[in-house]
Amino acid sequence: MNDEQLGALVSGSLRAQAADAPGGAHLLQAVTTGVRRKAVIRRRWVVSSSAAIALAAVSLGLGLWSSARPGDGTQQAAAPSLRPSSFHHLQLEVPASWALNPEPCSPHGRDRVIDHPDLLQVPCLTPLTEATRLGQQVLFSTGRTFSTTYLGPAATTRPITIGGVSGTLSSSTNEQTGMTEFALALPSLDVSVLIDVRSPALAETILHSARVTGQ
Amino acid sequence: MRPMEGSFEEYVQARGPALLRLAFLLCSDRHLAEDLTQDVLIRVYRQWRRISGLGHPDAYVKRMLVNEHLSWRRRRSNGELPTAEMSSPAEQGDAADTVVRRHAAVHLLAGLPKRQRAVLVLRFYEDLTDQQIAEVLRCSPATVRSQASRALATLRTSRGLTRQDV
Repeated sequence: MNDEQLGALVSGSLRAQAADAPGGAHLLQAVTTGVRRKAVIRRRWVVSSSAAIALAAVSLGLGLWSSARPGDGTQQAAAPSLRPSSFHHLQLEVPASWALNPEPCSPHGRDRVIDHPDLLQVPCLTPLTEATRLGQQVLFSTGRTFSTTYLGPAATTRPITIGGVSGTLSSSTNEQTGMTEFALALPSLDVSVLIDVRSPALAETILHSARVTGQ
Repeated sequence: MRPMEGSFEEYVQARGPALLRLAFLLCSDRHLAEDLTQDVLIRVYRQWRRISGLGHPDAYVKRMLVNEHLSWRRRRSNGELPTAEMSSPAEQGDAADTVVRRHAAVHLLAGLPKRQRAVLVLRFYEDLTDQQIAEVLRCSPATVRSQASRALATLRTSRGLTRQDV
C-alpha cells in the first residue's frame, strides 16, 4: 500500500468515523451553563481570595505595628497622616484629616477629635448611643469613664501602663455600627479617652501612640 | 448575557457540530469530545470579543481545541485502545473490504500517540497543509512531516491493514 492509498484510506476512515460524532444539539445550552457555573466559581474565588488577602494585610499590618516601638518611625510609615493631640499630659497620634473640636452638638457623622472639656457636654455625646452614627472619633474627657458609660457590659477590660502611669483599657465592638471601640482611662491624670473607629488597625495605631508628656 | 454573546451563540450553533466532529476524531470518545468542545467554547466565550475580531475565528478555535486536547494529560482517560483482532480483509469482498479496512484504520488511529493522531486528523480530515498544521501545533513543518511519517508507518505495518498486501 503506497502513501497515496494509505492517505485515501485514512481520509475515508476519518470521514466515516466523523459521522458517529455527537450531534451538538445541546452544545450551546451546555456551554451557556458552563459559562454561568464558572462565573459563579470565579466570583466565589475572588471573594474568598479578597477576604484572605485583606486578612493577611491586616495581620501583617498589626504584626509590623506590634513589633514597632513608639516613635521609632515604623509606626509613622504605617499611619503617615497622623498628628499629635494632647490632653491632660496624655498625647495620642490622631488622623490629621479629622475635624478638631467641631461645633458643639453638631450633627455627628463627621470624623472628629474632641480634646476640649467644654465640648464634652452630655447632650453632645448623646449621638454616641445612636445606631445611625457614621463618624469616627477620638474623645478626650475628664471626670468620666467611657468604658462603663458607652462600651457596655460586653467590653473586656485589662490593666495598662503608659509611661509609668497605670490605667485601664477596655475594648468592644459595637454590634449596631460595627465600630471598634476602645476606652482608655488613666485616673492619676484624670483623663479618659474614647476611640471609636471603623478599622481595628487604626484603633491599635492610635492606642500604640499613647505617651505621657511632662506632668 | 452581554450583547456580544449574540454572535457567540450564532458561532456555536453554526460551527459547534464541526468542532464536535474534530474533537471526536481527536479523542475517539463521544463523551470526551463533548467535554473537550464545551471546555474550549467556554474559554472562547470569555475571549470572544478578541477572537471574533480575528480574520478567521474558526481557525483559532480549532487551534485551541487541538492544543487543549494535547494538554489534557489523560485526566479522564477513555481507556479505549484497539485490542480486538481485526477481521482479515483477505476474507472479505470489495465493499466489505473497504468497510473493514476503515474500521481497522479507525481503531489503529485511536491507538496512535495523541500528537501523531492530531497530525493525521488535521492533514486528512481538515485538509490542512503541513505549514498550517505546524502553526496549529506550534512546531515546524519538518516536525509535522516526521510525525505524519511515523504515524503512517505504524498504520502501514499494522496487521489489520496489510494482511491483504502480504
